[in-house]
Amino acid sequence: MGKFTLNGQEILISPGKTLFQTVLQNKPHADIILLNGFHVEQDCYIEEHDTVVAIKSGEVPPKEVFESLLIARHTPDIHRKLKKAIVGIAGLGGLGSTVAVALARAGIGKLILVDYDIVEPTNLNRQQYFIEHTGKYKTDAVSEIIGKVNPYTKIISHKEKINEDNISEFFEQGHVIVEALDKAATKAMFIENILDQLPEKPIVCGMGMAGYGRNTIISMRQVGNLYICGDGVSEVGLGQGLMAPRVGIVANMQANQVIELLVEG
Amino acid sequence: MIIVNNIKREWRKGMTVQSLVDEKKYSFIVELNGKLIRKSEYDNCFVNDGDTIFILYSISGG
Repeated sequence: MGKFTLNGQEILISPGKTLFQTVLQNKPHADIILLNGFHVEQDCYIEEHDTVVAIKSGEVPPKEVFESLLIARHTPDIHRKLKKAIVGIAGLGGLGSTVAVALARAGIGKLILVDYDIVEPTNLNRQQYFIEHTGKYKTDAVSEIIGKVNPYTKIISHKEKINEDNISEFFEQGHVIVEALDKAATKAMFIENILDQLPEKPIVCGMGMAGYGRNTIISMRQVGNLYICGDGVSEVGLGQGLMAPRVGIVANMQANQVIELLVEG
Repeated sequence: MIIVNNIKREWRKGMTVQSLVDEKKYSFIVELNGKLIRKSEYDNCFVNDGDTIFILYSISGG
């Protein structure tokens, strides 16, 4: 007899019973039912290898159901590739904190977070932190946020300044590396050293995102293993600060590129 | 006329990749008409009228 998966657990298909009857029997209070990732409104029969998620609207599902929700949303094949992936993120400012949270929501298995800094009140205009994180290490604050979003993402943190001597130690485990640093000199040092020390690793960097508007000039360009997101020209300066929307666009573009690299290889 | 990072600009005789790279403090990847140029070639690599160039300038913000 065939099996299907209900909320992450394998169950035998009861012959002659419909999806709704089966859910009623196992999760009597469930009123949101996803079959292979899609909301079901009309009853049907369960087939072998189907994935069913049944939850009660407004209730926090137990931990194990979280993962089955991700599988249902992203399809098992994509979820599996993302779950076994390790992504290294250099810097947890406007770019890095947003990339980290987006990747955790997407179900990345492990993140390596490198940042020596603490959260300052001036960060809140564009970074993922809350007022209560002020004074905390950014690595700890991001870990805390991710723990509330996807507790399945494992995190390795390094509260250290990145230099050419510790780059390969921190990042050699990563399948893809994200450059999310802030100063031009540090960004250049990091990218040059990754290209030199870990030339086989794809690196996704963010370059040019200050100010507002000008949506049409933000793009992605690939040169070998280097993926460059941003407009390539908008530097931080007087009258052109960093703002949540434009930094967020570039950060999410980076996260999007990471997922494409991980899924399509 | 040449195109540098999607922006059109005047071409001058004798223009080299090095002269364009020198315009910013941090620049490290150059593609001339889609071909990657090595650092050691910057000085002797002339830019011709009509060329398309991409230079990755490292600029602050993140």
